Amino acid sequence: LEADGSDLRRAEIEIINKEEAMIQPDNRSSDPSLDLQELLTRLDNDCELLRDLLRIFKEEFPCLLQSLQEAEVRGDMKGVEVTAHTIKGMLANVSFARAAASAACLERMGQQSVTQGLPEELASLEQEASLAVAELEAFCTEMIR
Amino acid sequence: MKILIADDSAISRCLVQKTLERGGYEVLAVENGRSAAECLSSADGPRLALLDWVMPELDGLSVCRQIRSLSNHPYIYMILLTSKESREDMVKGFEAGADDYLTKPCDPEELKARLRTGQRILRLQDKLIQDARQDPLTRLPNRAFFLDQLAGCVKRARRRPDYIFAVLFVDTDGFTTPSDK
Repeated sequence: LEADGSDLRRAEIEIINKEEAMIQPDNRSSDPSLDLQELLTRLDNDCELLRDLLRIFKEEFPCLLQSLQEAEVRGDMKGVEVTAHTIKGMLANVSFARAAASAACLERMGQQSVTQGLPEELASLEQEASLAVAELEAFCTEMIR
Repeated sequence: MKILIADDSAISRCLVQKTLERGGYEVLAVENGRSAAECLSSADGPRLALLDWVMPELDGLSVCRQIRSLSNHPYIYMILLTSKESREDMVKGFEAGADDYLTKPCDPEELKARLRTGQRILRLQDKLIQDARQDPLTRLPNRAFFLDQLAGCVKRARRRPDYIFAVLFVDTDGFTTPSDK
């Protein structure tokens, strides 16, 4: 067998990433449901933009969640991976930290075709996202007052 | 300066668009890779681009590869803005032709700083091309420019039989004396 330096490096990166992708012990309980401070800093305290993002989130998230649930029912693990990835980016953009961690976990499960615990993780994602939305809505209502 | 945002997530597009418009950029936003590639390869398209990786129709990596394969096109500075965080993904992104790599959610100040770097590189790239194609003394187009134009004309003539071009040779007598002065 012959392998040049780049082949070895590629194999090394692959092993490191597989190790990183293994479902890690869950430390998301330390994450806030909504990291409001981080979000407001990133938005430069623009409350109008915050309301726009919340509106878009409420329009887009249910459809994506439904796609994810359908992919899980079909046993389409590639679909689970791709949709969870899209949801992860969306949740990160609105600083829904715990829900984003849940989406990241679902993405890894899809990548590794892990079906055990998938419905529970899906339920957790839905619940965490609902909590964060409620928190953000409460903040926006307070802002209007 | 014009900048393209390509992302299938409306939240990402809205967030980045607002940040960049505040920074004085003229933003064009599209929601899939095919529209991004078309926009970037058009004659007066943007020269800065923020591309998501996972997009419908054509992903961000394919957009990078397609744009890098264009010959005789102004350099386009492309940044991948993605939720893919692994080192392997980052390496893949750079190998596909991306100039920079950012993960979501990105800090607005960091994004703007990286775009300023992109603009600096585009200016240097343009200067390099300009200097390579004109005589430094007379500022007239040089041999490299002529050969480049000629190659373009030959290519066009091969493609379109109705395309005709002519080459005119002009010599200036006694040019050395004034140019030495």
